[in-house]
Amino acid sequence: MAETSRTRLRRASRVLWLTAGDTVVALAPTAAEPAVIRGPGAELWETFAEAIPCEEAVRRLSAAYGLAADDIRDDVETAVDALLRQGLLEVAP
Amino acid sequence: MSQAAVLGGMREVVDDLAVTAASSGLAGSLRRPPVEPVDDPAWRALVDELVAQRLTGLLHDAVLTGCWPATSAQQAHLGDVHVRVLGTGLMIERALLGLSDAMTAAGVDLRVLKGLASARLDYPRPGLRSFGDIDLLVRAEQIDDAEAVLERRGAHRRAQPARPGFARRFGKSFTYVLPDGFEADVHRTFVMGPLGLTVDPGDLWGRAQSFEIGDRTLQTVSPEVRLLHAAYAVALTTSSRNLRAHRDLAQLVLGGQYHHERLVAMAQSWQAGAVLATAVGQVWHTLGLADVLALTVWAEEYQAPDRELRLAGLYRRAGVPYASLALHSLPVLPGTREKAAFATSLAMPSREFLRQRGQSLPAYLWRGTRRALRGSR
Repeated sequence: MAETSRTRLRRASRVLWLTAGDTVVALAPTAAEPAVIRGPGAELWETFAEAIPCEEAVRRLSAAYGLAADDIRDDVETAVDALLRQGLLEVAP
Repeated sequence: MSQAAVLGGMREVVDDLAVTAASSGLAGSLRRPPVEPVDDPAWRALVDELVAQRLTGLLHDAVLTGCWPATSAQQAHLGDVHVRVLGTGLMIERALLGLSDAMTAAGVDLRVLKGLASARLDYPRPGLRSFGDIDLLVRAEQIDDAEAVLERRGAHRRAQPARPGFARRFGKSFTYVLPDGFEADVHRTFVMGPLGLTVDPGDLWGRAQSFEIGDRTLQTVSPEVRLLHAAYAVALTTSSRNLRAHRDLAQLVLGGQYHHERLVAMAQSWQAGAVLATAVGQVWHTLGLADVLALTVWAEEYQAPDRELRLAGLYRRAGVPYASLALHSLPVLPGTREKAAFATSLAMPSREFLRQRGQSLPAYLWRGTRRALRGSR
């Protein structure tokens, strides 16, 4: 991930999204179609309701799932990168 | 048993299930879901029906909360369908925001109508109510400006008006197809014919209510106007039951955001007291609601004047032709000039209008007269 470990990320400001159970459907402002985020990805989406560093998201998810942070860090960072690429997350000022 | 009989029987079962789904989550409803999962063909037909009715969210919620039995395959099927429905809804909301910005920049006042507003204001969560198009209210004197905005954005009108300016003076709405394929219905009033002409524009454009889509604030009409609009959709149609309008009306009544006296006075001033009373009674009966409220009591006791009953009755005749509604619009139009302009528009439609319908003027007039007379019997 290009951002520093202290970079705060949040849901992009013009993203529209809805939830259905454990699934999030999100539409970035210029996306051709909506993204569907399921399961742990939907939990990750919840954590970025406020601007937090990626490491804080790792910490929160490890607590929620009862897993060691080291065990989930790579997966979380991969998911965060994907959300950033899709324009669903943005760097907070 | 013949295939037709089997299909007819399943249709009845699915219709009944759809009504039960439409009442799902309403604590006062006496309707009950099935005690075990229905068979797969019925399930698929039910989900298809709820997609058409824009109410998949209610069934999805009921299944997730354990209130409606479904097999895991059925649950997965519904989940996939509902996610697609939500995705389409987000695309429509995004289109609305772009259109709203353009209209505002052009100085066109807007109120968002129907599902796009109801989903955000009247339901516990927006995903419970979906929608298939954009409905906007525009001031009559700004309809030309609104059309110009739509055309600058690459939208094209679905059908030509009878005459230029007809929509602005007498029409209910017109439809534009946006470049991305979604439709925008631009409304001047709520229904064609006399009950659309008795709607007071002052009420439509009086109190507004705000709601949010994302980080944007939009405006819709007041709760009383939204409730009456839903009542029109429930009571003034003989086509297949509009379950989303039923549920919208129930949400509005039970949500209690409206002012009772203001609502009743407004309905009566629109000559639509009978429409409101009929709609409330119909919704309460169809959805099996046991809630007793001031409005339900009023609806049960309301003695509508003959004129209101006649106007409402015009719409409830099966297959009532537009020509008949047009004929009955003349008495409610104010002044000789308006009546003459209305009659001229219908009697002398534009060439574009006739060309689109593939009719000559004599054929159009003969057909219209015949339909008007048939509808008046």
